[in-house]
Amino acid sequence: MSDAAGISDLELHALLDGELPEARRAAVAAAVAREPALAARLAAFAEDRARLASAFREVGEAPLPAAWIARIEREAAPSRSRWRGVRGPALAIAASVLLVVGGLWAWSGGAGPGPILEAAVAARAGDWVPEQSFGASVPAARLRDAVGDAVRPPDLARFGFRLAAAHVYRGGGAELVYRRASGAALTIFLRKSDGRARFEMRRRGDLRLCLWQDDVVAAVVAGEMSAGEMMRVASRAYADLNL
Amino acid sequence: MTASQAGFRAALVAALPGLRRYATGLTGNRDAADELVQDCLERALRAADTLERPERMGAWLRRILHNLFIDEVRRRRGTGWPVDLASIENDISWSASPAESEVRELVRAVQGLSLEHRQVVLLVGVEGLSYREVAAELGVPVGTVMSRLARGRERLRAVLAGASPGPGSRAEAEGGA
Repeated sequence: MSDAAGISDLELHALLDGELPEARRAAVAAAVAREPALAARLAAFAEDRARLASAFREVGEAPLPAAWIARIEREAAPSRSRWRGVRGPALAIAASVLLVVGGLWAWSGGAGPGPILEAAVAARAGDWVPEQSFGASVPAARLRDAVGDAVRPPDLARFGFRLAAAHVYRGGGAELVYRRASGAALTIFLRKSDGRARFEMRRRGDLRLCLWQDDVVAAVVAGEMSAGEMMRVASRAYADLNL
Repeated sequence: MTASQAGFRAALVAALPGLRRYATGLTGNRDAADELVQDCLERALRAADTLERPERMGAWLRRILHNLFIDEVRRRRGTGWPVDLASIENDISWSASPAESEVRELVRAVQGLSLEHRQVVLLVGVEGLSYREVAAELGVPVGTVMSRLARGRERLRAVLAGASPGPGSRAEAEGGA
């Protein structure tokens, strides 16, 4: 169906979803600006879309049943020495902590960030002076010393991130800095684990952080991206860290 | 465990919240959605080697889930599940926004859509997929996705515009009793 200005509902929805071809965008936007009825229609659809996304967001961010995670752990028992029985607990924690709801994600005081999250943020902001810095090739032994166990920089090329630098800090801890062609940075702060399995997602301003820790290594992935993208990047990073 | 197994498990866990959200939108019933996701998980674990590209995890899981859902709908002869508002409200009780009555209204309105329209409205509007991704996932042309989306949203608009939960309304009677 098209209105008097020749704009179909299909085009209004495409505009709303960011799917309208460049060539039509200006014409549709001009028609919307000219025709109050068209503008009202677009606004109503936009409101419904936002309400729907908002309503279901809450459902998708509820904690996952522990039984689901236990089931996944049972399926593929780890066979490699270092990761034997290690990742299971981390996944179990992932389930229980997945109540990562908008408001709760925000940097809050009470249940505030553990020291490692603060460390990751400080390192990313350049508040810490590295003991030693490297380019894209960081010596494996140096990384092992800093993290307390053998790890390798994850390959995140599929997300457009390439390793640009690595920093090692006095007293332990290392930061891997990845960059996209646009210059956007993704950092992975690595440190020896305090022994607890943890999985947390947090947000500080535009920065999103994902802590994924087993009983050997703690990793904090940080970048300015959506929750969905962070989940994908952090999952890949965690899975690819082991040698 | 190989690195790819670890990757599969991590990607599977990461995809579950979204899968559960989509299942809740399809069924309108939290318990039914969880049963569906659990069945889907079993199938996915048994068929792990059929996932060719890890980045397709979400689409792969939704395809399995959708087949299970269709089977279940057929078993129930198309009657579907009752909209289980109480359990959905439990999920949002610790959240200030959106208002419970609004969620109730939206879940009902989505359940009023045909399955074809519901799928597209949810995949685009809630799961954030592109038209092309939805078309590939459902095996239909992009034009079909667009027309289903327009019809589905039009219907949703009509239902939501007409819904005014005043005293004595159905929602009020069910919720207040």
